[in-house]
Amino acid sequence: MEDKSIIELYFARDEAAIRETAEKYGVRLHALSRSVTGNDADAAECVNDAYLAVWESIPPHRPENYFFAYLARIVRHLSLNLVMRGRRKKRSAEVMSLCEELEVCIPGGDTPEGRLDREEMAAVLSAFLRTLDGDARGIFLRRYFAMESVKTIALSLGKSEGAVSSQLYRSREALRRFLSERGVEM
Amino acid sequence: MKNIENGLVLLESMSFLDADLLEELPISEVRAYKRTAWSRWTALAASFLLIAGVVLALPHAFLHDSEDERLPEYTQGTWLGDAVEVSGVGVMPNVTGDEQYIPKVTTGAELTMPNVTGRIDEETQVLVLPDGSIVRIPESREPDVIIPSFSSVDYFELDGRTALYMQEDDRNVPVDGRYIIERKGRLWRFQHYIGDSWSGEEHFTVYGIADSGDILSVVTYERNTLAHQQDNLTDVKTIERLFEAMKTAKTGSRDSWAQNGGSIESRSEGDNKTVLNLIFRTERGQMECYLYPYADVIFLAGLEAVFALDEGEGYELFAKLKGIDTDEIDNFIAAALDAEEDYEVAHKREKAETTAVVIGN
Repeated sequence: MEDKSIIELYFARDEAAIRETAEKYGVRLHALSRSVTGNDADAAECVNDAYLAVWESIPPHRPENYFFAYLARIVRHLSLNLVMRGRRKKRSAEVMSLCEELEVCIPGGDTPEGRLDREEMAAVLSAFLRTLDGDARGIFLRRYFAMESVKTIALSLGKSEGAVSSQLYRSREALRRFLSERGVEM
Repeated sequence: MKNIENGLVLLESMSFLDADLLEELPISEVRAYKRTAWSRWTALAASFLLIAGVVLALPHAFLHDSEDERLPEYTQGTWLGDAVEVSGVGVMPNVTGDEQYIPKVTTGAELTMPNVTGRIDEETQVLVLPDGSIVRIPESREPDVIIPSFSSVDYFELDGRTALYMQEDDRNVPVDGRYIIERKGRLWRFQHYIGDSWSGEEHFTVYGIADSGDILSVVTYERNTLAHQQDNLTDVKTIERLFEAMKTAKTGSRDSWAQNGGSIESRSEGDNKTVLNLIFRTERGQMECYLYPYADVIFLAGLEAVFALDEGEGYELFAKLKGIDTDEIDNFIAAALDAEEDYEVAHKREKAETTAVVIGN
């Protein structure tokens, strides 16, 4: 079913909307959540919570041109929240490691006018990602959005782990420069 | 001030990326898996037990459902060393009460479990299900190094640097046992010290800990302050000889190292996870250095942590020993940091969190 038709089901308050959503995107959403949470049970919970959130947010939202992205954002946000609430300590440690990787991208300084909230930062990150070529952007998104391991990415792309790590390192350096040039602080 | 919270903000901010960037988001179906003999054997052993459980449970299932004509025929799993062979064909209920077809399996690379059927991928050591999806086999491995908790913490100056003095929260620890944490280059140098003023014996354990919490090196050594006034680790010739030993170890020739007064032992953890154990003996005492398989980075970490080198010094020595340009070292570091999905490392990190919290204070 086309996204537009699924959205119409939501607007009609037809519960088939959730079934169709799960049918079309359930596997990808579960994979995304599992990548963040590290286990199937939590992933299933997050995806189900996401369906509920989508049900409650459409209407008024009408994300028919970016429905998967809309779903992915919600699933990822819920999954990350679950991890950071400490229910999965081991996984939380891995997320903190990702934080440390990204932390080095943040320039120094402490100017209030340069500080951004999360949505503003997301806009800056989006702009940065558009400067990367397709491969680099894909790897960056897999690592820091989908939170996949280097090994998983390498296996998927048929690259060595070293090559993926090097690419990530270069992207982080590029992000650091990008943020620095724009005076972004946090 | 930059801190880990900022990294978290960046990570969280990515949930709000422009939609078009996410629309074609590639999500791997393959889950990461650390290929170690330990985990392989653990996973296969667990799987075998599951199979055994299934086999044992089957007669009961038959008794409860004797009218089911599609009885499972497979009756046994055979342990092949690196795979499980299951023979037979049949139908059995899965955990949701549905029935699932269990295909006949005749080769060693196949594996059946109570509610899934698949094979263990030779390359990635993950369980591949019939629909192509892949399940990671969980690993449960206790950390090699356990950092204890602490009951008291004090700051003090150590060679012009701020360090922490921590008393272990364990009544069995000797009175003068203490811990010191200080920043050394890219690492936290975590030193456990126990001294006995009566005998003059001192025992040190030095951990090189990355910001991630990974314990990258473990070195223990001891000395007798009554007999010797110098710390042999600061002796340049000692360090040089250790470097030579490490180089020798990499080539597989251990005789020259032994002739220089040391010995090398390799011990196995699991199957192919060999830990190289360098024992360096001098007239002043003995030092042991454990080099883990991810040796390149460990090596650098060890240089910085054990010998308290600054980052630049560690880089220069590492590049010299590896015969590479210093610019290339960052790739080693990046690879090390990106290896943190490793569950073993994650375990260690959990144990190291106590330390990290103390540092944060």
